[in-house]
Amino acid sequence: MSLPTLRPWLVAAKASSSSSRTASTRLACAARHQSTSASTARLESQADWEEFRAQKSRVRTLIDTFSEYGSTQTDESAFHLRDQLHKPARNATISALLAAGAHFGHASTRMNPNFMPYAYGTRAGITVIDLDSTLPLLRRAANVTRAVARAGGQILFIGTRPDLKHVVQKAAERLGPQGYYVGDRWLPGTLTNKREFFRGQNIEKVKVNPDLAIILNPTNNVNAIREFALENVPTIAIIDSNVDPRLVMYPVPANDENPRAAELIAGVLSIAGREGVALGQTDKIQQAVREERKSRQRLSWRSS
Amino acid sequence: MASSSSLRMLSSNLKKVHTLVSRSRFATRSVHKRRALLYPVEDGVGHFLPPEALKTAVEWQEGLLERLNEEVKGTENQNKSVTQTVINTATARERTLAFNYASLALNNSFFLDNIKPPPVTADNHEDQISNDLLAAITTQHGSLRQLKSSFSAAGLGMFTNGWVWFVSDSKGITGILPTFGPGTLLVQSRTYMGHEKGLHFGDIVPLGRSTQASPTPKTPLSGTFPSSPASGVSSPTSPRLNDPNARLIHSSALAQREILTQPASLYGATATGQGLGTLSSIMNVGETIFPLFCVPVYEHSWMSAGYGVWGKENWLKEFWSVVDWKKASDAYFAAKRSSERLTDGAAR
Repeated sequence: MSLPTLRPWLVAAKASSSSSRTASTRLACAARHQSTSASTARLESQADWEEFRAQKSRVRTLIDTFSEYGSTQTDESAFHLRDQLHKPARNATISALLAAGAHFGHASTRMNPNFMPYAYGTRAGITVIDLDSTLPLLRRAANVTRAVARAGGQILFIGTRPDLKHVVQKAAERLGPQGYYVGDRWLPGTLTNKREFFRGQNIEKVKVNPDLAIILNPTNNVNAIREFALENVPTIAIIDSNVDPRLVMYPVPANDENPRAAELIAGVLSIAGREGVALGQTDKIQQAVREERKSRQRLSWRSS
Repeated sequence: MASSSSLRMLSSNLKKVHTLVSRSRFATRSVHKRRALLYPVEDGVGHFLPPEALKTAVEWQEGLLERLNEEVKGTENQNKSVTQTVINTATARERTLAFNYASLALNNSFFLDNIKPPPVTADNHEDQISNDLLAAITTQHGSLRQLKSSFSAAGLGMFTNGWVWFVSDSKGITGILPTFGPGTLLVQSRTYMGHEKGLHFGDIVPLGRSTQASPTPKTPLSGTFPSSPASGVSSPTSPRLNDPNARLIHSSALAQREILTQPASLYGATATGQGLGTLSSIMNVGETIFPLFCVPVYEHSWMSAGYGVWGKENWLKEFWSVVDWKKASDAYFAAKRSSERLTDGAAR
């Protein structure tokens, strides 16, 4: 870690001027000017680069040594605003949903009558969503996601607004090869007109339909929801108070306009999906072990 | 409606107005809290820190962290760890108080976590010293006993408060380093290290020139060091004059001249490349120094332990019964490997 050089013009002038100074005064001068000629030297050879890396490594070790001590507050325990997107919580709670503003619905005059079971009441002209019903429905949706992922299904996240694009991208990444996302416009006909869309490929062999679709802004994606219904794909969506909850199979009544609520819900669902993927892999391993044991037993019976 | 849409977007804008909203009970930020000790507080740590003294050390730590919390509240460092706070506040003059508290808290935490109550079967933990570290101590300081006497001398020579550290550099050269006040090993311009006269470093390679040997104590310090089975030395050997393997680098004229002719370089490595184990490679502040263990030189430490206000010497003798040599050996091993940690080209 180097301090910024004070008065660099003075340092340069002094360096270029000739003066008869003794070693001690030269040392004192340099210390006063905080000139770090060694550290500002350019890296020229491979050896320089390696020494630079070694020095960086040493400093890193020293910092890591000290990082274990001090207090209980470490980088992991501290609050970061970025964690809402990058490290979401596994379980949602009423207080977290409240803090994210997931309980704000649309104007009461626009409330869909089929939304009535999930509405808590009206305040300031908007419908307040009952989080006591949202939370169990969100958990149910998480269980569905986990089960589909465990069975090896492919899960598609749709969030077609600019603020939702990164949310669905991160969510799909958590599921590895089983996660997909649509962050820009859903092209109508992707499922119902697949022969046209995937013209170059053998449509009998290619799997286009996802096994589960999670939509964060369903009002902008009615085309996609209609296609999923036609192709019998189960759907989960964030349903706001102006939307009919029967639009999708597993509605999650919450505020669909707020990116923070979307991050929370997509986080919960994608973490459940990630768990499902891991469980599916352990299932496969256990299955393989059982098969191996059975085949060994069969061989031993045959030989005996 | 304007009011409803503003309500719906409100929570996403909340972070901009959080300073105006009064803090609720479940919206408090995490604060610095004392780390739990690795041994029970009630029993103290042997004769070195009886329960009263350990309570004082813990009380001091809690007070430092409380004052640190007050200092960093509302600044950019409020969510950072103590180590990161030390690094961030080191260069800022107006944040000196936060730096001082953080540095002392870090040093005290390091001290408390690198001592252990003495085992039931033995007097100390010296059977846990790794062969590597023992070899280094024997080569560089003569024997464990001589190291102890040098360490005590460093502590006794300090007339202000501070810390005495046993350090190693990345090449495995160990030494004793006194630091004053809130000096920290993390930021080299803020180490406030004891200067030449109080500095004792080991020297593996004799440079072929005569460094004047300083006299080591000819008689062992009044029979207080338990004879460790590892050292096998009953009394310190008296060094000959002009011994190239002198353990104590004294403020000889030769050494002083050498220090002053070194190129001034606060953060760069030495340019002279004199090879392993030279005085200049340690004294040059560009070298990274790793701590193995430390001891606070504060009156409250030995007074609360019951040694009285002048009890520093006896208290420092007791220190050796509680030093956790296993941790020191592990730290030494890590220090020697520190240059190789980033060879894979990974960006950190």
